[in-house]
Amino acid sequence: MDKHFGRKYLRKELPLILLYAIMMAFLALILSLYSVSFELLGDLVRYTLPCLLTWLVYDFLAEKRRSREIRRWSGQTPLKAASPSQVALVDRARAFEADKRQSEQAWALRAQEEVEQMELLAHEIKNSLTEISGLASQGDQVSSHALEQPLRQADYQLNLLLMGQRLAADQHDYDFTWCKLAGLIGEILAQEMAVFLEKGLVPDVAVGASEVLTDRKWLRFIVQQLLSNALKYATGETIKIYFKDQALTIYDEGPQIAASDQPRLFEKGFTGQNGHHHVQSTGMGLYFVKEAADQLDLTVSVLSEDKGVAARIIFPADAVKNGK
Amino acid sequence: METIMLVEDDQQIIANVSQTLQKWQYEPVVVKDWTKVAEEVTENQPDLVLCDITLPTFDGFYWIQEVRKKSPVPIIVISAADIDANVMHAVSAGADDYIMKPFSGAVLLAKIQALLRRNKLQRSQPLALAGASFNSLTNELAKGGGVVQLTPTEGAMLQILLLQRGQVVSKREILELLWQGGKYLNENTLNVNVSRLRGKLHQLGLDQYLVTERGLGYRLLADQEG
Repeated sequence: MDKHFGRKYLRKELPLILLYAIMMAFLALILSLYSVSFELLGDLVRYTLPCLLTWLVYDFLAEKRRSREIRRWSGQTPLKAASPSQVALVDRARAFEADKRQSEQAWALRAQEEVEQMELLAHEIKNSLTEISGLASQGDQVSSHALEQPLRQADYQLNLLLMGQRLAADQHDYDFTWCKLAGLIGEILAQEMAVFLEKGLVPDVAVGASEVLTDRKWLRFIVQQLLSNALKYATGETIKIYFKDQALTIYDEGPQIAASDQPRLFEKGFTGQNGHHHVQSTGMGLYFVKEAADQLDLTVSVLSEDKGVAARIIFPADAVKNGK
Repeated sequence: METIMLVEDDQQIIANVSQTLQKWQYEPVVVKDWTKVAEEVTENQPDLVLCDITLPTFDGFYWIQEVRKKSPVPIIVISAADIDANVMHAVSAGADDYIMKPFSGAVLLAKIQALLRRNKLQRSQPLALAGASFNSLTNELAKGGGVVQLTPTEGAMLQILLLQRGQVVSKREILELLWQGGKYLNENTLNVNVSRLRGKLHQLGLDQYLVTERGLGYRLLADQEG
């Protein structure tokens, strides 16, 4: 029970008590003007005061009961509001309750999605480990060459998992700086050399001295994903990477995107028609790319172009420096 | 010979990195007392420090701050991912660059060379081949009165072989190092470039030093072998 219940109650009733007192005072004044004896006043007070006090006690108890009722209200059953302001309060309380329930449901859903996502990627990593295990059980030695692919896959999936977790946590750990594209692309290409060579491809880079204002680690992630996809599907001899008109483009001459797949590319878990040919397609790569790009205010598009597919990252005009 | 201090507790990483460093004629130094890392850095005066983030006793971030109080030595941080918040802290605490696990020898080398070059801690000795000297900046190979101009790619290849003089360098490794330097060759173009390089060496009578080891790679013979 509220400590200051009594005090608060009195404050609420003060106007009434004051009114009574003032009315009695006025009466006293008028009586004195009419020279009527104050006995009248005395009697009046003697008979009305108990009524007032009784009423106050009744009201006090009613208020106490009401107070207890409201405190115990769980929001499930409707509460009888005794005054217009109480009606407003009750409505407000109900609205908050509904909001809270909605939030909780949304969070529960998100948590579940994250767990599923993590499991999906963890499975992929397990696959790589199984492959390595298999190689190890085939003899006393394992060729380093044979290990390359499963190790690369596991690292790729792990990075995807880490980035996915980061995006889900919504921590906005963005650190915008001017990044030299040549350096960033160089790093990524050197990392992917084995894949390039395996597929008989070489990169054809033309980014000049351009710089972009963005978060380096997230841009690296986006470029890595797009390049990874290009490498998966590329045929021919080169993958062209160039910077033109505020956009970084990765172009490969591989099978074009099916019209039915085009609108769904960035959907979570979407693997498309070509996905079936590639065992390691979780469909999460482009989904994360879109999420990251949205946070960085970048536009990413993957479209059939010329004889192949062009993946493009478009930067806002004021985030580009073409440098000499 | 430049010394590189490894502030790392994982024995496997120490072993691998030391091997790579020694191959490229850098001298690795390890930490002996994990409570006195900063002092050991001052004592050893390395030309570069490789520091892992996760360490016993104190973390890499702490040691970088401590080292920075007394020395501007170039520091490369080893981290699990650039998404790691600690990497940002390390860099703002004074590290010069970071490298992500798992990393290849080629990447490590490229980063070390870039930092040493930036700090002007170049190798003092010019690269020499049986009386000829090679200028890595101009890609000129000069012997006696004759000068041969190499292309940047040929120059890069020659430099790789010169730094591992007498040892076989696999095609894979040459390609990795070339790719680190932005030269995207494949096995075919590599073979072509090696032939061209041999042709140019021939102009100075040095082609016999560049030997193809079938199935293994290429080797630049030591002076006395040629």
